[in-house]
Amino acid sequence: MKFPNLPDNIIEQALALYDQGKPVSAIIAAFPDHKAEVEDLFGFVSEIRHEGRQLPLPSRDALTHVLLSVSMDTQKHVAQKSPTASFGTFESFQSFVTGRWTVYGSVGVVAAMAFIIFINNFSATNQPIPLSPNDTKVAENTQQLVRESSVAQDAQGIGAATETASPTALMASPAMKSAGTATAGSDAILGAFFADASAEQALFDTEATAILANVDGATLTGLDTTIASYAY
Amino acid sequence: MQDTSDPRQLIISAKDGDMAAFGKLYELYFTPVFRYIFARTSQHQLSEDLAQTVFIKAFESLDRYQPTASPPLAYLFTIARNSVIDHWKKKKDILFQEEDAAVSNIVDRKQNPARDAEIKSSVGIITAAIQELPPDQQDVITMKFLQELSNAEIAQALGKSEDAVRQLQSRALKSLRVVSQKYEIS
Repeated sequence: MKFPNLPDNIIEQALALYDQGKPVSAIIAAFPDHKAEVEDLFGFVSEIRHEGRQLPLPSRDALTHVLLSVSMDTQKHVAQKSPTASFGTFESFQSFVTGRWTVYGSVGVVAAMAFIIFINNFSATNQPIPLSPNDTKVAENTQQLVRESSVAQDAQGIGAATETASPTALMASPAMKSAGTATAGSDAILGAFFADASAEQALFDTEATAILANVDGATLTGLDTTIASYAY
Repeated sequence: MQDTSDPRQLIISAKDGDMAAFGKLYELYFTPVFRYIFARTSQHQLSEDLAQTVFIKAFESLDRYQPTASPPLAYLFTIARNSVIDHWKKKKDILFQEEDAAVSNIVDRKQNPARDAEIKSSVGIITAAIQELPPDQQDVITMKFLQELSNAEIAQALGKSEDAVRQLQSRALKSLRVVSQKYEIS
């Protein structure tokens, strides 16, 4: 037992010099007090290195097996990285089926349900629109009005050929008067509206005539000059 | 693939999915990884199987590997080291600390003299003696003197400082010498 008797720091220093590329003879010379131990240390290191070089090599089979394993893993890796890549392995195909197909299936079911609902709604819109009680009443009144109008026309000797009779006369007929209850309100409103508008227009015309009558010719001439000054 | 043999560049290309680059890394490092494991187990078939596992694990974890953090060989040795520890743990079917793994290995061999003799005859005395050292000392001896990694690379692989690696080397060499002398006598 030689070098194990050396203090740790001496061994560390000697190995550090060796790592720096110093020749063994120079390192041994650097520790004159521990020459035999340092010599023994590097003899042992040399022995370890020699045995390391004698370690067996792996067989060719092992090399081939790893290459195959890694190749399969690479295909999986590439398939995972690129969703558009073709299925590298059966496992990647399987994971696609069990994973992505579930999503596609769910979307398909939802789309089918939406289509069925749309078709049902479309059919429903082609059905006659149910009338509210008010609508029904208006319709009945209109039909009654038409019937009574026909009867009145027949009674007055107005045939189909005299359909061009004046609306005033038609409106004055008893049938129209009796059936006019449905539209009487709106007629009254419209009549009042037009009456107000006529009265307003008449009032405006009267006021304008009065103003113009009070304006003398000189004022009008001045006004013409002012307007001309703004003209380009 | 770029025409390069720089291991760091190869592993960066492999990270990008370059299969040929990974194949080149494999050709460069399969034998060192195998020998590292063999020095820890002295079993040829087991070492091949574990070396294969190391490369498959390395490939699977390429996305997590940072080329600037440690050189590729140190990275592979880290995986190899963990694979060997996992192997011993599985073999013993109990959970124990890393230090206990070596003790367990020694006990296993002492309880089985035939196996001990087989190791000594199939590998050299020093390789057999390495396996009786604590795991961190096995690592440093294997990486430094069998694989000839620098102290910086060993420090990165073991997650220790370079000073700690130097101290560990010193203790490991002393222990190895004592154990190998016992083998020589027996």
